[in-house]
Amino acid sequence: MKWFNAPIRIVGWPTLLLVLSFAFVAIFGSVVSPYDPAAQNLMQAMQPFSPEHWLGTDNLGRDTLSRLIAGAQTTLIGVTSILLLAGTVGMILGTLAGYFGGWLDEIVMRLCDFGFSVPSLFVALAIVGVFGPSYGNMILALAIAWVPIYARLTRGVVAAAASQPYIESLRVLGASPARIIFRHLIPVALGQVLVYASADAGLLALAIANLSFLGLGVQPPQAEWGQMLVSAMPYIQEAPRLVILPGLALTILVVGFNLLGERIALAKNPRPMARRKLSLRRAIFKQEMSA
Amino acid sequence: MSKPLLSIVDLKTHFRDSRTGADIRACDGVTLDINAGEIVGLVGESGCGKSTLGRTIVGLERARSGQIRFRGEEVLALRGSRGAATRRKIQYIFQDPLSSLSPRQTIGEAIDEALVINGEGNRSARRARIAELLEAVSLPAQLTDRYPREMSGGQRQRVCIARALAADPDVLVCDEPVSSLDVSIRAQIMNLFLKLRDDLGMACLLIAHDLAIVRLAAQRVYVMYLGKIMEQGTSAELYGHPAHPYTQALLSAVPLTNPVQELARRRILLSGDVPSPMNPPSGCRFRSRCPVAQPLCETFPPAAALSASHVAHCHFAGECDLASIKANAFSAPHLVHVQG
Repeated sequence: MKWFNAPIRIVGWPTLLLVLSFAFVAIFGSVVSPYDPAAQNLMQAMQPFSPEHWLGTDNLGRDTLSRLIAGAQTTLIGVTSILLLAGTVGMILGTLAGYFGGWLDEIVMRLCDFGFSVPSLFVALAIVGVFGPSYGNMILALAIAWVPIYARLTRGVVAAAASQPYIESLRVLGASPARIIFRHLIPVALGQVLVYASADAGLLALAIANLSFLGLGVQPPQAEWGQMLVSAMPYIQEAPRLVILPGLALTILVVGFNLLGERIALAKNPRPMARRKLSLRRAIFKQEMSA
Repeated sequence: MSKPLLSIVDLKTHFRDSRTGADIRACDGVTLDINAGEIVGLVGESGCGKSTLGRTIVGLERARSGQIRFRGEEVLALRGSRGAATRRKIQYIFQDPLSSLSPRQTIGEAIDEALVINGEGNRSARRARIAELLEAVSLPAQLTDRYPREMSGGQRQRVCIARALAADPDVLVCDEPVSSLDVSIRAQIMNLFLKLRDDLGMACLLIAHDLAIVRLAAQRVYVMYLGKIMEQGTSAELYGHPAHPYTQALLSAVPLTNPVQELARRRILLSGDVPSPMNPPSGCRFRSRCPVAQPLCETFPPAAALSASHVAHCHFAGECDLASIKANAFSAPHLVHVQG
């Protein structure tokens, strides 16, 4: 069980349990879900907590627990695909910019500046506005909006590593740029990107819920927390649980991802500097949240 | 003498200052020869451009103009795989061995990668070669699984040398190879360079600010100041009869082991800072700090050959001897401080 001890020591039981249980629900959602999340039963509408429906039913008689589980699936698949897309494209652009420098660096970084000057959510809004609201378009839009973050992160790490004597000595030995990039620079950048991504996942989960809340992301009848929130709005007086439950699920997931990211960042860099960086990142996070 | 193995002709490497756009003339017209199996020293103060020269030779900096001729080929003009194959024969040793080894590779992997880059495809042949290379630098073969951080500075520098040897080079450009090492380890590494020269016929450009280290190993020495060569000669000529005022000042700062000589040693302290390489003095580069500078020095100094190998770039080469000049006998006493 040695392979299992290291992550526990780094991340701690509670955080790991939190994130893993969400992942479990997302992966085995269709198995553990008691009802079809889209099945309507108007005879059973607006039921409170009961043995048949543990978390009650909504205005169309759909089982809330099943819909929360399906929502977890939607959110986590969305977050994962966005991170994969944005991370891959961002790392490719950032590595090229950081290693080759010059005009390529200028172009990529000015595009990033453009991306940063507009809040990510607005960029996503614009893209969804052009291509029309759907789950796939939302993922594409958020991925594009998130690329600059990863491009700049990678560019910084790669540019710093590329001027190290060990990269220079590889150049003197005659190593091709491809060898230097793929065998030496990408692994360094990947570590940093993964640390950042683990904390960024929470922000993305929020962004997905935001877009769906605005009706620009996940479309009914597919279940998604943000979309559940908005469809429960008219009933906030008579059945507050319909609003509270998806909000709570989202909050717990975001907190879980943030704890995960923080713990990994701290474990990688136990020096005081890391703590200062961390508080800086928290401040940026708060700023993004309020934007 | 036969044709030199590596000859550098009027090499210029300039950097553009990003704020002012002015040229920083780090290396400004250097001519230098290295013969096969010869250790050549290159000495000078910090910032005189000696490292830039070394980095330009191995292609880490782009030369503005000039020639690098290696075994009759013009290296700067070579392109593609042929250029890479030729350049590979000139290897570089960095000052800090820890940062010149990847922290993610064991030393076995690092040397292995150098062999792969050099085109050795056979795994077992590479393994045998790694053992040979480690032996060549006097490291035990069981160190292959160590990471650089688990080794001493001297061991790391040996690994760097072994990795450079993996490319089967003819010339090693060594940029301050021992200045980050303990004094007790320095002699070992210097002896290793001597051994490589004797066993493999390895030529070396030894870049250093430590004059004693260079004297120990080099047959010929070049003295560089502000991007230009001031004086060149065999070790015996240069250390015995320095002809350029700058060389004399530099040598006067070296402590002597003989206590009688050491007591008699007079240090020539140069006043002022090295001028900016963005705006070097006209004529002789050293004239702004030279204690014996004359109006004539505003013109470019000729190369005064004192013997076939000994050349000083000074209008008064060999005529002045700063060490014997008393402070009060000087026309400009504020320029020189002679300490008894």
